[in-house]
Amino acid sequence: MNTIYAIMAAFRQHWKNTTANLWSLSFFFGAVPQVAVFAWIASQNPDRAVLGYLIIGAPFMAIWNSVFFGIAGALSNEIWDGVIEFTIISKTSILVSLLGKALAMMVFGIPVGLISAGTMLIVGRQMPVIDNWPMLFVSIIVIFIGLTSIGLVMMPVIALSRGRTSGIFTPLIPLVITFSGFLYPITSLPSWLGFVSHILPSAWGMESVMQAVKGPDSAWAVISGWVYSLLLSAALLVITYYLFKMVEKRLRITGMTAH
Amino acid sequence: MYNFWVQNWLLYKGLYDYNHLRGYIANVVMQPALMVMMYALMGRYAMDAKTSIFIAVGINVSSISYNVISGITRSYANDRWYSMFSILYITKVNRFWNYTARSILYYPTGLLSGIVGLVMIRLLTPVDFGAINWAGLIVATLVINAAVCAWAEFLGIFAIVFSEWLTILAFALSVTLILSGMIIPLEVFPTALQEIGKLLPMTNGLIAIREVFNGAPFSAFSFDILREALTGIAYFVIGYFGFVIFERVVKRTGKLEMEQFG
Repeated sequence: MNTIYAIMAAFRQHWKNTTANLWSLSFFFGAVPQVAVFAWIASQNPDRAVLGYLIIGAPFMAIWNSVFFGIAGALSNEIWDGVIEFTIISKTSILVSLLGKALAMMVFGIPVGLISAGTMLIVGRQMPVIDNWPMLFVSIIVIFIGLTSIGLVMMPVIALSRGRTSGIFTPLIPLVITFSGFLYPITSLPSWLGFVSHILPSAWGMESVMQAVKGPDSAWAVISGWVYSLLLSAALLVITYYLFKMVEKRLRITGMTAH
Repeated sequence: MYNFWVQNWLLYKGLYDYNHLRGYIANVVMQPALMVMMYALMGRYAMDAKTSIFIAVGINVSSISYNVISGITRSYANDRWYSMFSILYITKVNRFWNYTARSILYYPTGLLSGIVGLVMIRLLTPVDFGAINWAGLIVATLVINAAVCAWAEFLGIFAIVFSEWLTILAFALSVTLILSGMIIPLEVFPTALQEIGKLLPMTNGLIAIREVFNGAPFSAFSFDILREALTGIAYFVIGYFGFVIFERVVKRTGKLEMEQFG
């Protein structure tokens, strides 16, 4: 129960901080031209399932574009701002605290996804064909969790990076989009690259989206995507936990909590 | 001439935040490779293999512009953030050469990005490299890259006025993504919009590039390349006047500090 309280408190703190500093039109509408183009392409295809798939994947792409650095940079910002001390001296795990922050950022990105989906409906001028809405809804939640865990694992990675790092994490945004299959089923990837997708929880979630859109081959075909996605998310959380330990150890050894 | 190259290097080295090996590889090699891959695969899924070539070629040009515009507009904004303009304005440095020096070293960056994208197009689409008019491709790429540098210089003036570059980058990429024929063919739009699109950099160059991929002779696209070059020159000249006017306004009002200007 205490863990939930801690997550909620961290969520609230990061939410207030984000909403105080990040209200900008470009945050919410920046992806509109890009998704409009995707919708136009999908609308050229008589198979309406294509628009159905893209209308789920492209908003996730837009959310990821918007929130990635807000999540992945959260730990570095804490260190930079000199407030990491409070997290370290608290009995609450850093992982729990930063999970709340990551969730806050993801929730803040939801309107970006809704605006993107709305844009695609307007440009596509047709309702997407979705065979199974409940399965689609669960798949969306699973992908949401998957993206949160990917963002979370990047927090300690960025914090542990040393030297000149500006710009080196930027390609992670298209990397996750490319290999998550937000814009095409991952089976479209060349076989020599397909294995990368299988370590991303979001890619398994999109497999389930594909099943929900075109009609599931079997219940297991959908559920397996959720299971693998959630298992991979859990694995990423474990990795994140140990990476946070490394960050904490480094901070305690060097004594450099603030830069 | 020596001073000009010193300016080139200092403006590039000091103001381009990604100017270290890891940052350079990440942005100039990895980013374009991933963008071309993402769009090519999306085109193949949503349409067909032929469309994936059309889209991949368009997005490759967009990747060139991403790297060049982000670099140049960011360096302009940084110049303002780091309060370097006040130092420039008390020197006798030739303003035209100073303005020109801000884009020279981004030119190879754009070219490298384009080459990376070309490799990805070869790997991921069924494009016939044997049919390409290679001489035409080289000329068209050199001209497009120069026009993009000029466009970025023009946008850089907005970066120093507003002390901000990310929104300007997003605006520039969005406008060209839709109206330059990168993904949506120009013919889809009404005539008036097509003409507006042709006032943007890359639009005319892309028409030439697409001809080049079809193996067309130089005469078939020489006018498009000429128009692309003229578009670049026009943006460069307008940008230069903006650069000079900014200095005059600053000197007249004495308001260079960010909170007081723009």
